Formats: sequence, C-alpha cells, structure tokens
Amino acid sequence: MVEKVADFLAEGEADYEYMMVESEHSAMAAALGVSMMGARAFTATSSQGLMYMAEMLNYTSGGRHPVVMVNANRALAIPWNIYGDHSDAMAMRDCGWIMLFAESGQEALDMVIQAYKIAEDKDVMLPVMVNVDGFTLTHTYDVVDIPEQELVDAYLPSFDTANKMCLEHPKTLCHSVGPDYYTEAKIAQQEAFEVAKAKIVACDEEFEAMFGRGYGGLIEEYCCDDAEYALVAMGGTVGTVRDVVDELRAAGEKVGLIKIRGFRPFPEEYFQSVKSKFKAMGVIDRSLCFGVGGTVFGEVKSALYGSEMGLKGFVLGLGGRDISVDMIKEMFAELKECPAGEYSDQPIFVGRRW
Amino acid sequence: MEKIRWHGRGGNGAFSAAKILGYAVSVHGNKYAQAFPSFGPERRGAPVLGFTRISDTVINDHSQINMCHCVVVLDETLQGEVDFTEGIEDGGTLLINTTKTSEAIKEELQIRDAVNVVAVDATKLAMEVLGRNIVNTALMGAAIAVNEMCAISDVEKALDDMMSPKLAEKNKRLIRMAYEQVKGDLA
Amino acid sequence: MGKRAFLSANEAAAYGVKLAKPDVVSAYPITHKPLWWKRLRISWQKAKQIMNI
Repeated sequence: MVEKVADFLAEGEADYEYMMVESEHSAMAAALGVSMMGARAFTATSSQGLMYMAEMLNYTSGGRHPVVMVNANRALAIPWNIYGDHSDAMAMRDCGWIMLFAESGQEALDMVIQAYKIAEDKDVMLPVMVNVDGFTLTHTYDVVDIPEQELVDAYLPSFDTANKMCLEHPKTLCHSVGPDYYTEAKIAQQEAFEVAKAKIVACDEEFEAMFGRGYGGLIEEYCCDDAEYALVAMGGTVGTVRDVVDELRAAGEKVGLIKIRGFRPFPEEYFQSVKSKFKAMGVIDRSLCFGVGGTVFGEVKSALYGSEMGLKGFVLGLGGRDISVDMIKEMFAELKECPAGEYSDQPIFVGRRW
Repeated sequence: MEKIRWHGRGGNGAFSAAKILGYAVSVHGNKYAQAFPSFGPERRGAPVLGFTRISDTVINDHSQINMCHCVVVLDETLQGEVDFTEGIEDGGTLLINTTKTSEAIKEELQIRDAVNVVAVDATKLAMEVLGRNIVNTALMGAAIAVNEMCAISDVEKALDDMMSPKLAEKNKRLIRMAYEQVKGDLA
Repeated sequence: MGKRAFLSANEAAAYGVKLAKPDVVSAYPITHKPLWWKRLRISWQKAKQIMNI
C-alpha cells in the first residue's frame, strides 16, 4: 500500500517526506526517529516484514512515540505463504502497540485517521497498528467513501508533544535504565493501555458524529441481544459471519456475532459483562499459539473467568485458506451441541484437509 | 446477489474487467460491488481469475465465490488447462470469446442443459475497433447484454473516468457494439 | 459527504494516510518494481515547481 502513498506524492496530491529505506527494521527506526523529533510518522508492513522490525516495535512503544502503522495480516514462513491470516500480528501482541482490526476497506481508511487521534492523545502516547487482512481485504475492491480533507482536519488536530528532542527543553529519549526504573516505565505503559480503552471508544464515537460511520470502539455486537450462541471474530471474517447470522436468524436461529475491533488493549470488561449471557460462545482464530491453541481463544477464555458457558476454540483460515459460509454454519451447529461449562482444550481445526 | 467469474490469462485484463464492472455499478450505478482476483503468483500467460459481486445492499461476505451465475471466458485456449464449466448455477450463463457457435461450444464442453452458452467473437470486435486483441471491454458489453446487471451508460462513465479520452471513446464504441450484437443474438 | 470510490483496502488505507497528513512516510518497497522512476517523477515535479514551469 505504500506504493499508493508514493503515487499521491508523485501526483502532487500530498507533500509528506517519503523515505525509502533498505529494510522494514529501518522503516520503523526511521519512523521512530521522525516521531522523536515531534513529527507525525507513518509506515506499513506485513508478515515477515513485521517480524524483521520486531525490536523496533518495542523501541517505539517503550519510548511512547505515537507512530501509526498499517499491517497487512499475512501468514508467517515456514512454509512460505503470502496469503492472509493473523499470525504476524499475534506474534507481536506483547510489543506494546495498540492493535485494531479492520473489517473492510472503509474501516481501514477510517481507522488510520482515528489511529492518529488515539495515538497522539497526551494521556495515551502509544503507537497504533492498524491490521487489515491480507488479500481478502487488501487486494479486494469494495465501495469506499473518501472523506473530505476539511472534515478530517477538523477531527484530527496536528501533532503536538513534549516527548521529543528539543533544544529549549533538552531531555533524554530512548534511554538505558537499571532494575530500579524499568518496572515503573512498564507500569506506566500498562496504565496508558487502560486509558486507551476509553479513548478508542471516544475517538470512534466522535468520528461517527462527524463522518456518519461508527464501529463500536473496541467491540461491536451484532444480533446478540437475545442470542443463544455467539461467534467471536476479527478482521474481514466478521463480514462473512454477519451474512451467516442474517441467514440463520431468518431461519429462526438465535445466533449472534461479536466483533473484536480492539485487540490491544483487550476488551476484558466486555467479556466479563457477557459471561452468563449465551449458552455457548465460539472464537474464530486465524492464528495458532503453539502449545496452547487459538490465540484469541486463549484471551477470550481468560477474560471469561468464572463463566459457565460452553466455549469452543476454532482455528481456520490459516495461510489464506477460505473461511466459507458453510464453515461458519458448521461452527454455529457445533456450538449448539456444546454443553454448558465445557470448553475445548484442543483447537478445533475447521476445514482440515487431512 | 449477482456473482460473475472471469477467466483469462495474466496480463490480458480478466481482473480489469471484474474491477471496471464493479466500479461502474458502484460509483455510477449506485449499487454495491466487490471485485477480487484469484490470489496466486502473477505472471504473464498464466491462468487468472477475476470475480465480481454485485448487490443492492452492502456486501459483507469476504469468502471465495464458488458458484456463479455468469462465467466469462476471455481466452478459450484455457480449455484443458482450466475447467471453466464448473461452479455455474442452473439458469446461469457461460459467456465465451470464440469463433465457434454457442451450440458447438455447448456440445464440445458438454455443458448441461440448465446452463446457457453465449458465444461472441470478441477478438474480432476488439481487432476492428481497438486494433488489438484486448477483449475485456467487449466481453463486459456482452455480459451486460446477457445479465443486465447495470446500464451500459454506467460502464461508459467508468471508462471515461479511467481512460484517456481517445481510448475511452474506442472502448465505449466497442462495448456498445458487443452489447448490441449479443442482444441481437439472444432475441 | 465524501467521494464515492471503488478501492482495495490497500488503496483505502492509503487515502486514510493521505488525509491524516503525516510529515514523513518511511517504507521498504517489498515488490520488485523499480521505484526509482517514482523518485524521478517526484524530483521532476519539485524541479518544475522551482523552475516555475
């Protein structure tokens, strides 16, 4: 997508500085350097590239620099696979970045704008990763409304921070500390993530008021009010589940969809609020936490501590394998068979070929 | 929901057709559309698929398309390499760029009765109007003649948006010609 | 009301970036397209501005 960003520059529609660097590690290092000067930085990557810049992700977040990055979610080698899944983002879930997942191209556009507002908030000051499913979203054409610049300017103030190199107020950035200071720096980051929960919701609500489109902040519930069975999903898959919910509802089945939009910070409070709501809940994972199970499943299960609902962890859509309408119906059918209090201790691989 | 699959070879515009149609019905036709290629390594000459979804309501489905109402084949030499006869709904259409007749194709490919075959010599039309064997716009005109999923004028506006005036004029003429011809054949 | 367009999510996100007006975009070009020609175009646009042509 950076090529399109370069096209805007080449066509005179934008005037950012465009730094071509020799690796993704350098791309993040450059973005960090820009942010350390108090300027607004952007970069984009995917899959192996995200892995390559891994240490710089922690540099940026630990330094509290509000860089925004688009990550096209793709599988990780080996085997080498260029298609979409969530492995890359999940491998980096502890890097201290806010992580949001877009359901559509429209949401991706809006999310980049919202991301800067969230990131640069003085009480947050955390970098934001905007996750967009590789191929199923990134290479799929869809109807998008491009907002007017004036409206975006009214929504998004210019970047202003004290966390920068400044001759008038010299300070140390990217510093070394010993055991006597490190812990409190990390606690401060954790506290910023707690603040970010409310800010993500507020920024989305403000966006909705101004642009007419809202996404629920961290979580969107679809048809959950009287649902007996609910599937949790992230990214483009959410759209397909919406259609299946509509179809099953028309046939009288009480099913619902829970869209996780904000994965970091994790919406623990939401899951605690629904821990007795459904008969069974399933989680769709597009990544594997080896030795544990579906990545998001583990976090949902943890957030549902004390729940007696049936819980199932489904793993599918790895390496770009299609997540079909039939598979989603199959998952809802499995939820109906799930007794209360039972949770899957092994991932259920839907669509497994052998 | 209308689902269309386009078969072509890399570099010959199968996906462009999927995209231009999607653009036309959504930006000018006020419907909703989605277009995507088959996701595989791209190289010239390799079989390529394009897909278009068209709907009156927002399209949420991000899964692959397995059954289509309309399959468009830009390059009949794909026969043998690719099975373009599978995944067509009953009552659907196989639209193919060929010099053969619909009946001949139907028999050769053993197309079941529930599927219509529409043959159009898009190459001839393209050579006549463009002087080049780029058949995607001609086949778009033909597809609209078969399905009427949008107005030809929507596609004409799309071409005006996307191409230089000279190229747009030629392609608009080509689309109309293909549309009229197939409409005439179907009558 | 904005402008209705038909875009890939990559392109849509790129519009989001343009609208957010970052000061700097850093990138490692992952495709094998020679981006030097884009650089050349950018330089030429700037040169035209300076020379007022």
